[in-house]
Amino acid sequence: MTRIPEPDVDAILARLAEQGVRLERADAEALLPALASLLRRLARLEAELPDDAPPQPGGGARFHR
Amino acid sequence: MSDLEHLGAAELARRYRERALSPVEVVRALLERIGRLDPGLGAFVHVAAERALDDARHSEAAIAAGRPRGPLEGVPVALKDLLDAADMPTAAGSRVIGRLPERDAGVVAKLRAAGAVLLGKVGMHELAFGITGVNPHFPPCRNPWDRERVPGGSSSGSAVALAAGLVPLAIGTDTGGSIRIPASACGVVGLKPTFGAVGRSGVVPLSWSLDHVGPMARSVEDAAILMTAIAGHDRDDAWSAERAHEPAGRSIGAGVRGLRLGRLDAAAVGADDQVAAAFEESLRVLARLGAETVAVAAPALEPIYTANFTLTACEAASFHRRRLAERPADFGDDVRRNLAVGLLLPAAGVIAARRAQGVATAAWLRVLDDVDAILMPTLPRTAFRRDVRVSREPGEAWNRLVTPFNLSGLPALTLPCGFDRDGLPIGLQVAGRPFDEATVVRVAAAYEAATEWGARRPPSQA
Repeated sequence: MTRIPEPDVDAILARLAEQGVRLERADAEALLPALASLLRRLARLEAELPDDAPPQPGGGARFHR
Repeated sequence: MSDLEHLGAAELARRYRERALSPVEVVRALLERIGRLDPGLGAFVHVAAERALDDARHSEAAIAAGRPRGPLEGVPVALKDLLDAADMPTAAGSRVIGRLPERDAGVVAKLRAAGAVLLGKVGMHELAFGITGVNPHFPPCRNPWDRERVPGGSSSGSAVALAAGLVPLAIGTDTGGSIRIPASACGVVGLKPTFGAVGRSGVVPLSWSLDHVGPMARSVEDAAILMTAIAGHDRDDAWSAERAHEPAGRSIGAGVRGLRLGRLDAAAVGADDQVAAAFEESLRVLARLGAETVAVAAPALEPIYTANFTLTACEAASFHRRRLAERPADFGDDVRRNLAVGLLLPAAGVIAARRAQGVATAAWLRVLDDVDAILMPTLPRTAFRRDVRVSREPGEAWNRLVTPFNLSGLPALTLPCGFDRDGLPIGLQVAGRPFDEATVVRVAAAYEAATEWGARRPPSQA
C-alpha cells in the first residue's frame, strides 16, 4: 500500500459496480471524504508499523489459541 | 412496591428467596411500565408479554419448590435485537435482516438455563454499525436523561431500558464500543468481556473478529451476575474460548487496597474539562480506598481507531455485500455508505490493520504487566444532541477511548462517575488483563460502593 490514488466519485461507483453494488452518485459523493481520509490514515498506519510486525495471530482469537 | 422498577437482579433474587416478591408480580409491573413509558423512550422493538408471564409463572413455581434453575431465576432480561431467541423476531435494527429463528443464540440458551425471563428485544443502531442509536427504521430511541440527546449506540435500547427502569438486566454487543458508549451516555454499567469469553452463535455479526457479547445492568454486581451466567464455551462460535471461567464477581467486596491501577491522562486523551474533572475525582476516591494509582501512557489511539474501523467496515461489508447489492435503498444512509467504504479498501490496508491489531494488543498487555487494571474516561464528552450530524466529530471522539479494548480483546467496563452541568452522566472505564473480568469488577464495585452516582435516576419518570 505504498501509493494509494486519491479516490474520485466515478472510480468509487465503478469499483462498487464490479462487486455488484450500484449506489447513487450522491452516496459516492457523500462517502468520498471519509474514504479519502481513511485511506490516508491507513497509509500512515502502515508506514509506522514495525517491519517485523505480523498480523494478529489467529485473526480475532487473541489469548487462547 | 414503589421502587420495584429500580430493583436489581441480586435484590430481586433475594426477595424471591424470602417470598417477599414474586417473578409474576415483577414481570407484570415491568410490562405495565414498558407500556406506559416506552412509547416516549423507544427502547423496546418487541415485547414478549405473554411468554414472559408464562416464564415468570414457571420461575415462581421453581422458587416455591425450592429448585431455582440458576441465579437468574425469575429475573427479567432484555435482548439486543441481533440475538436470536426462538420465539421472537430478529431484525438487527434493520430492514434487511428479518428472521424468526428456530434456535436460541448460545447466550440466550444460557440465560434460559439460568432461569431468566426474557422480556423482549430492545432497539439498536442499524446493524450495530454506528454509535448514536439514531435509527431511520424505528421510532426514535431517546436518552432518558435528556430526550433531545442521543442514547449512544449501538446497544441503545439496552441502555435506555436499564436507565428508565424498564428492565433490571440487558444484553448488549460491542464491536467499537457499542456496550460501553450507550452505558456511559445513559448512566448505567456495561461490561465488554474478554474476546472469546462469551459465545456469539446466533448473533447477527458486524465484525467476526471484533464483536463481543456482554452484560449491561444498573450495578456492577448485577453486571457480574449476568456475565457469569452467559460466560463459557460456545461450540458454535469458532472463536469461543475453551477454558474454565471464574465467576466475574468472585472478588466483589475485596476492595482495592493493594491494587496498582494505571491511570491515563484524561486531558491528553481528549476528554473535555467536565469529564476530566469527574475522572480525576474518581482517581482520588480510589486512592482514598487504598489503591495505588500510577500514570501510564496509552498506546497511540489514532491507529487503533483506524484499524478497528477498517476491520469492522471490511468484515461488515463482506457479510452484507449481497444485501447491499440487492436492496441498497433498504439501508440507512450512514450504514449504506460505511458498508460501501468497506468494499473500497485495499487488501494491503486491511492486512496493515490486522498487523496494527497485533502491535496494539502487545502494547496494552505491556501496560498491564505493571498494573492490575487501567483507568480512563469511557467517553471524552457526554451525550450530544440528536440534531448533531455525526461524521468525524463527535463520532470518532466517542470511539477513541473504547476501541482499544475491541482491537485488543481485553475486558473493559464502564460505570457512572459523575454528571456534567447539564445533568448528563459521565462514565469511568476500567480495563484489565485477558479473562480477568474479576479484577475489573472488583475495582468498579469498590468505586461504586464509595460513591452514589449509580443511585441517581433520570428525571420525569412517573
